[in-house]
Amino acid sequence: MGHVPDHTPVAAAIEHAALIAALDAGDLAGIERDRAATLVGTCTGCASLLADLSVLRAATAALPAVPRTRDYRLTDADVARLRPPAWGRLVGWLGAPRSKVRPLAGGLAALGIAGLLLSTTPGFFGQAAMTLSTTGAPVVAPGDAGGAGAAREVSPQLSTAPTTQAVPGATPGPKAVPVPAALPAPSPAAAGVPAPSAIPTAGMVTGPAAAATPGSSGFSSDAGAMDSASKAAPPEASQAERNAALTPASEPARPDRTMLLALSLALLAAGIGLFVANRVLRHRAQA
Amino acid sequence: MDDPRPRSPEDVTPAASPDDATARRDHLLVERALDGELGAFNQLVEAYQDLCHSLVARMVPDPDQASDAVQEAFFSAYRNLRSYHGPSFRGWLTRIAINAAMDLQRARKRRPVSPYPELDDESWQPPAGGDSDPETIATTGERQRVLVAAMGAIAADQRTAIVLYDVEGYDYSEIAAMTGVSLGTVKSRIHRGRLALRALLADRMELFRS
Repeated sequence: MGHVPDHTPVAAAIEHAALIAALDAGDLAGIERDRAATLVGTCTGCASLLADLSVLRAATAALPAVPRTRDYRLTDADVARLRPPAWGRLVGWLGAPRSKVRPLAGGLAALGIAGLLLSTTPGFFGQAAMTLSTTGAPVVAPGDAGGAGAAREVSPQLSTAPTTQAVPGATPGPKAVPVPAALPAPSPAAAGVPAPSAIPTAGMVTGPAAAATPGSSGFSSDAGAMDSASKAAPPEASQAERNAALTPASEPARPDRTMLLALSLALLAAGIGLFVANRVLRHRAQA
Repeated sequence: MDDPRPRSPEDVTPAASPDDATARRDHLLVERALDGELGAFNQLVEAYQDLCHSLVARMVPDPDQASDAVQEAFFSAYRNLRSYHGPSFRGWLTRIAINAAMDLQRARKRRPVSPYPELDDESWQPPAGGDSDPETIATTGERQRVLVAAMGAIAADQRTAIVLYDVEGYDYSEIAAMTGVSLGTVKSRIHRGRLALRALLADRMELFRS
């Protein structure tokens, strides 16, 4: 729907006045200026208006400066009053367009991401050993697949057995060592690899007889761990102490990894928080 | 009124060239003021307080409010000195003063106050020019009184535009940047303001024509 022009005398007078005012200001060009000039030439009121506007413009420009009645210099008290509080200074720093907030936020976030990557990448902080322990498969001999299950069943018996003689002939292993029944076939390679998963099994092997069993080392990692644990813990040590002596083979990295993870998350959150604060405060200042 | 709204002071064409000696002096004073030297900032105040007062007093009819607006403008300039990045301290400060005056006018719109200053102040006289003829002085004084009174009666945005254009000598683009409106709006305000002045002074135009 098109604009319907208003042809009433009042509207025409307003339009003409606006045209004359624009002409007086020198803001017209081309057809509009010609039209305004025609108006001035044909309409007495328009010519009078143009003359009055010109006079008023000159009078306005000639207005003298208003004399100052106050000294606006700042005093020390003014400065003390104007100094923003600590919180205000912090907000000002966060929202300042050229502050170091954004680079700092970017650095913190990058550090956080790097820490997250490090803490979740396998191979750091004893992760390899833990991987081996959870699978267990690499150290299990193919023919002894059921041996482990048997060991799980036998182990409790072993743990309560007063001597290693409690499970005679449980495995074809040498001598009357109880653990080999629950363990894969001994291999020199496996003997050198600590297998944390076997620790509970070894841990269950308690009693002076187990500690006193000769020649238990060298059969498997579990046997080695048990042996070293037996050596580390005195024979009169409690069960808990023995378990504690056994666990360091695989556990020490866990707290460090958790700490790194927490630190990384904190850095990342701080970086994102700074960035968001800077953005929000700058938008607020611009609004 | 605390923070000068970002009507992009950098967009305002500086009244003085950056290479100007005045601009260099201002820059040095700003740096010293940023270092905590209050005297340096007060030198800037001394340099520009007449300009700011004259500008704001034309925009804000009430003299006390005008003085308060100027004082607040200098407070605001001191608080936000770190946000000044050139090129013209004069342009930056003028913009702050205009913002302070416009804030006051908005407040005044909600709560009308007394009319224009010079009308109430009988002791005020326009400065005498070279022509010291008593009749001319009287005519000039009367002309200025009625004109100032009419200025105080027109809309605030029109008055601001006219003061900035006709009295202070800024061009359209500078006023548009200062007041945060388009160039067309600035022109329209000036045109309408002059027409409003003429309508108000229709009975006294002989005074001006003489």
